[in-house]
Amino acid sequence: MVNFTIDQVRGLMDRRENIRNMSVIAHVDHGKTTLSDSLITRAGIIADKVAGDMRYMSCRQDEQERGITIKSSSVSLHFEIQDKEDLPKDTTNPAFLINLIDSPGHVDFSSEVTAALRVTDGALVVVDCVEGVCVQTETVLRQSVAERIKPVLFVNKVDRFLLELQLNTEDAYISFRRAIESVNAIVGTLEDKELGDITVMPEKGTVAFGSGLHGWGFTLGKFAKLYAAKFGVPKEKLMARLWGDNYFDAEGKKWTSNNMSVSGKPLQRAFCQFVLEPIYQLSRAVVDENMEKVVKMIDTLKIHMTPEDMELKGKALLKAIMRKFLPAADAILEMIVLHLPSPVVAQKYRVGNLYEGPMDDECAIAISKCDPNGPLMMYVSKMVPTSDKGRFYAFGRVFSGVIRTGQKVRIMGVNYVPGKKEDLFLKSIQRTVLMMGRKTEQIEDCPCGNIVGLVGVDQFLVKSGTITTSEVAHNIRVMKFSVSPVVRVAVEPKNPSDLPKLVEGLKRLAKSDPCVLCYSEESGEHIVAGAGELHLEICLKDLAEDHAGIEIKTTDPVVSFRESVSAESSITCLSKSPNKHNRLFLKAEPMSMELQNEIEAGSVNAKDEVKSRANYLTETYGWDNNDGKNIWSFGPDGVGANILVNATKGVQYMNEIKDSFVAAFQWATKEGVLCDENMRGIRFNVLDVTLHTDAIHRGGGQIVPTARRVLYAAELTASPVLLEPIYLVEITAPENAVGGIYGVLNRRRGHVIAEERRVGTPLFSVKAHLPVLESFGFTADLRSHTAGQAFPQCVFDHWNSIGVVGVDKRASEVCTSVRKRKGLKEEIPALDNFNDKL
Amino acid sequence: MSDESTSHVIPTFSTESFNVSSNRDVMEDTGMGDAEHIPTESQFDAGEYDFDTYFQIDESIRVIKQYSFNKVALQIPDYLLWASSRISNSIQQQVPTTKAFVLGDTSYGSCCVDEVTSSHLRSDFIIHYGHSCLSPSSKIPVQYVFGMKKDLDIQQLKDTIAKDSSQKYIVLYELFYHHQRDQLVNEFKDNQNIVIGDIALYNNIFNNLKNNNNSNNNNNKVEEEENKDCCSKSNSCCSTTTTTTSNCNNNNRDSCCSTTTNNDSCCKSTISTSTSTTTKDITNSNSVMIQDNEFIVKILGRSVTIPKDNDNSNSLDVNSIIKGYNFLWIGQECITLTNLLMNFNQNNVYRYNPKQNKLDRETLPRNKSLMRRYHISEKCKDANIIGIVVATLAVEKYAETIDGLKKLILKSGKKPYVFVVGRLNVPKLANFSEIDIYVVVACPENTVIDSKDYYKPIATPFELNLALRGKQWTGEYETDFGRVFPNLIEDIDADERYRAEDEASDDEGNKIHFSLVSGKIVHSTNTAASSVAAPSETSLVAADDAFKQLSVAQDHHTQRTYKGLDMRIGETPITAAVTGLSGVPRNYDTDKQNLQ
Repeated sequence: MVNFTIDQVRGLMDRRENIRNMSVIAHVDHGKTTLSDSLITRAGIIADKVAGDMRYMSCRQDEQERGITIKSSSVSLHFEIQDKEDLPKDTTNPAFLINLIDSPGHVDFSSEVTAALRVTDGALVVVDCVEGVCVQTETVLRQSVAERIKPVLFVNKVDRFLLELQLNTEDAYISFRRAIESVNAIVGTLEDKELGDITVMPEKGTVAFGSGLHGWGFTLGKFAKLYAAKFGVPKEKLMARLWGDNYFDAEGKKWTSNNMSVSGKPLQRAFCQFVLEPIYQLSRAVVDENMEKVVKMIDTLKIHMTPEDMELKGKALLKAIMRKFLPAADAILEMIVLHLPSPVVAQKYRVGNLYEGPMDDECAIAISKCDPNGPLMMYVSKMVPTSDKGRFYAFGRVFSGVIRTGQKVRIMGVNYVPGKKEDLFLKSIQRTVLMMGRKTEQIEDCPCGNIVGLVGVDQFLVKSGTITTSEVAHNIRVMKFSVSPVVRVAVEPKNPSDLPKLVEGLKRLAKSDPCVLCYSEESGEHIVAGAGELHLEICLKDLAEDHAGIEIKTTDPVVSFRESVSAESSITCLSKSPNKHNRLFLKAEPMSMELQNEIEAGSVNAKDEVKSRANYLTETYGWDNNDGKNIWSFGPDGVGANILVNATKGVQYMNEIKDSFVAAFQWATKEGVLCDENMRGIRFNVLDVTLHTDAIHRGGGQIVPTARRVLYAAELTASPVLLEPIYLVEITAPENAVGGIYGVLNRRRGHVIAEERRVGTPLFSVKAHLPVLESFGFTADLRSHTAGQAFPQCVFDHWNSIGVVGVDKRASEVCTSVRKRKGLKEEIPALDNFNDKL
Repeated sequence: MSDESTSHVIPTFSTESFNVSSNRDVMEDTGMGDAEHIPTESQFDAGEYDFDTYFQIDESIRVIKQYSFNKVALQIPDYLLWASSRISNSIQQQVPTTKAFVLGDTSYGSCCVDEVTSSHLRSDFIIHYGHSCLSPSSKIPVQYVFGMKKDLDIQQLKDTIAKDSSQKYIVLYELFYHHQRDQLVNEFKDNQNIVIGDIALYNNIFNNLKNNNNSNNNNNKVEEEENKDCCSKSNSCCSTTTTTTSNCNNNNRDSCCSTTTNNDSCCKSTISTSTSTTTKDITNSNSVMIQDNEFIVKILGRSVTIPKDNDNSNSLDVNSIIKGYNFLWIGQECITLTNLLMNFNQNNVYRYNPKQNKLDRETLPRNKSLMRRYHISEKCKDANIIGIVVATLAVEKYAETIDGLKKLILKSGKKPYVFVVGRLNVPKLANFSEIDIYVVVACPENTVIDSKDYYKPIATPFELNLALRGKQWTGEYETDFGRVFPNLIEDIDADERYRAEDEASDDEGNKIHFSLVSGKIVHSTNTAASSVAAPSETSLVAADDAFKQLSVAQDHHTQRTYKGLDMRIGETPITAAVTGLSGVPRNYDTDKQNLQ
């Protein structure tokens, strides 16, 4: 542990080439937090007695108790490169500042991972060598590549091979290779020219092996260095030979790619022979308590053990020796420093992904150069609670310029549009702080390339946003989460007069988590929506205990549905305005699923240029080109996957009623006629309109309610369906538990889409689709039916139709129950409420 | 409109109501839970009800004769419209000197006395039939005729309540049980724990009227209370006299004046005769009076006499005493009951259903509806432009309330607009898409508008006050704007103001807060700050400040796609002229062809 003063840290922050911002990402239980612990023990900057204790990065009590990480947390490390030759080209200073963010592995909290990735440039991907690459590993890898984050790999839990599974060296090698290959298979499909080659290769030094728990680890570089002198080969060459199909033929004294020696004897792979064998021998000697051999080996390997250490026995001794021999922290930190980019390097290629504005404005240029003299550009990726109740540190990364205490800045929320006043606030920064795990340290200012916390801007941002000094700055792009909040509960206070407290609490909760949604519905219900059951559970606990501090009642979890249509409207719907002078004719029809997804992903949106969008729709989805040009609106909220098309020809005054019609469309798509849920995937075509010639008789008052009615009529006549959200579940379990998994899935309307044995392990992985509606208590149910051996991971995947409302029994039942919950009349209003006769 | 026209269907002068006609709307119209309780013409013909008794024709005639009213306005709700000709005929026959008019569609809810329409007719007496919200009107004498229902068995009621005699009850009943009040009082007179509410059958009628009034089903006690009522109301009467509009004829004004003098003398007499009586405002004028051992409280237009708590006799806090009571509502579920539940949401409310002889506790929906109202209150905070909808021209202090609301809205940096649209309906309010939220000034029963059909939500003055004053809501609710009014005019004291923690102001003094409704950070321009910057009209104002004022309107204009007439010369393809529409809009001649 290095003991630095804040001034020294601040000094380090100015050397941009010597900064590495990285996050630790992995599947749940692959050992991120434990590994981070060993890094902190070695290189933590601020003196803290608890640093390096178990799970230092898990600050919350429930994190400690459950043994999982819930919130990501950051810490700064200091590392000095021993060997000057190894220094990266762009710096001469061997001292590095590493900002490390430990992230949660559970899929429910993957929004935290997204927030962490945004502010870092590199990722340490941890993979359990026994379990291999799992769903969440894949998800986070994809995310990191999408954010243009370079990965390096740490193959963890190698000690299990040695001690538990007793695998031989060749099998171990195969497992390692498989883990590495699966990682490369994932990143390989995500080719990104700007980012360059991001495959991980042991021979390049971008893969480390070891045990986070025992605190040891190595890269091939470590061994290459060790053997370089012996073989008289340069380190780099040797490294390449220590991996892959390379064998050392002792008889012929030469390297070969053939696993037979000259005389035909089988050869041991170089990796096994030179890397794994010494470790295996050492551990076997220790476990067998062959002290003589141990001492001998320690001597040859030049490991300096204290006499106290030598008195240890068994695993403890092995741990002590291995820590001295192959300290994990050194190996990993060196790997990070050498192979992950500095902000200066990374921001050059990240700017295109980060910045929404033109690439040649002052902000884009400053970001790409990581220019401390440029305008300030900072992205706030999440809010971290302070000790002051209800207030938050705005946690984020400075991409250009310097942020100072007292500096007057422009705070731009997600809805900010350059040149407009919406979501723009001017405010002075109260304080800037350095986030150090559980502690914060105040600093005067923070230059670009660093991660910092701000005091005094939390009230102006909901969850994230851009902070700048430039008046022309556009927003830094909003983060895209891999999970969406589909599980919701309604909360109410036990005591009705506590309602304001609940509302305050909900506002705090909304800020404190990047993904949770808190809102109040028209019915007055206050809704908390989370990514999964666990996420929701944690959020509600926080709400009751910290944020609101009151007793709350929660309803059973409910899922949100979508209203859609499955056919074209059977009739042309007509609604007359209240004064009977105006008639609107309209039909609804379903939209293709791909188009819906594209709209939701934003690749087809309201801001697109009209003609090119029309051409795209014509080419890809076979739309009539004129219809494509006459898209009036997307809804709800101007972005949803429903389209209003003006398909009328030569009707007068259409542009006059457009605003009213669009307003009604937004309203109707937000609260569908079936059960007040959002609509999805409906295309409404305005076929004809009769309008009164006097403007006064076709004002908003006549058009808005009428348009809403005709939209409802069109929905009702187009075989309306309810869509329910479906999870993609991946379950890992030993073979004997698979039967139980199938049973549970069947009972819950799940269906299996893939099942495969994880090669080299006794584990099976089952992929299935499971309705979110049926997922409550799924984890517990699964555990009890598989004797606790199966671990599910649920991620929202798609919307699926339950059936036509009014025809299909279940769909009608679900519809009725939603209406009941919302306090609506149970039966869906009849068509003649909306459709008028000529 | 003369009486001759009453045989025709009364033409409506508001837009035909656009409603997905639901039970809810029926409720709003009749104020009653279910339509089956409204007697139909056939029931009268069959002799189930006696016409003259049901409509209290004799009583009305007696009053008309006594005061020699010349023009009597009959305000009859739609569902009793069939009786209008019979009522007006009987009155005209028995008092030939008097002209009886049937009022057309009311300007606002049919529960309110329609003073405006009757002023147009220059009538000097209104008989209001059917359900009423009992909100005090100020100008013209009114008689209420509620009608009656006979299914209440008081003995049964007594048995049902008696099961738990330790509870204290305030008994209120639906209006058409009023004719059985005497019986009720008699039955429960030994039971100290039960207080029965009373309804004044007359409004603005002088007390000498009641002294001759012995033959009626109003007993003396009622009259006394009526006196007190007049007394406490004297102030408002005075003020309304000065503001009486010119369309009142002399006759009308005379009666107003005489009302005032009468009230004055009544006040004096009360003080001189009973020195122990003190009139003291606690929550509000008109709502509470204190006598030596009892309070008289107005609850939903009904006066309730509550004995003072013996253990705590010097306590003047009526509200805390009321909290010790349960409410017992006799009748069906209706708006009045909803109002009761909302206003006294801390009390237990029971409903006695005479039809089923059942006592139910009314609980569940009120929590939900309170939540819903709170949600609307939160929406007020987000709104930048607020429309004040005037939905009454009769209820006391409406004008002052509107003024108070305007000031409050302006002070919070938002923009108010006042709308007078007659009876509210969806198309009327949908015409003003710029308005973010409406606040309605109406009688208590029409205040809470909870319909999803409105394009923009409609708040009550109470909710607006709660939201804009930044007070913390403690669970109380008030539908009567008369009671909100005193809070409305009291100055916002910056120090006392509760500040929500998420509220902050940026360096330009703009106030912001985080809205759960929209999930966004909302800001309201601080007009107070900019007015400080511009001390006088002639001094220079930075362009920035001026823009700030405009920004709200500007935003709306930029959002619109239709910017007015646009010639688009050369861009519009030329099409041949076609035959236009002919006929009436309900069914154009060309309709059939168009469809094919």
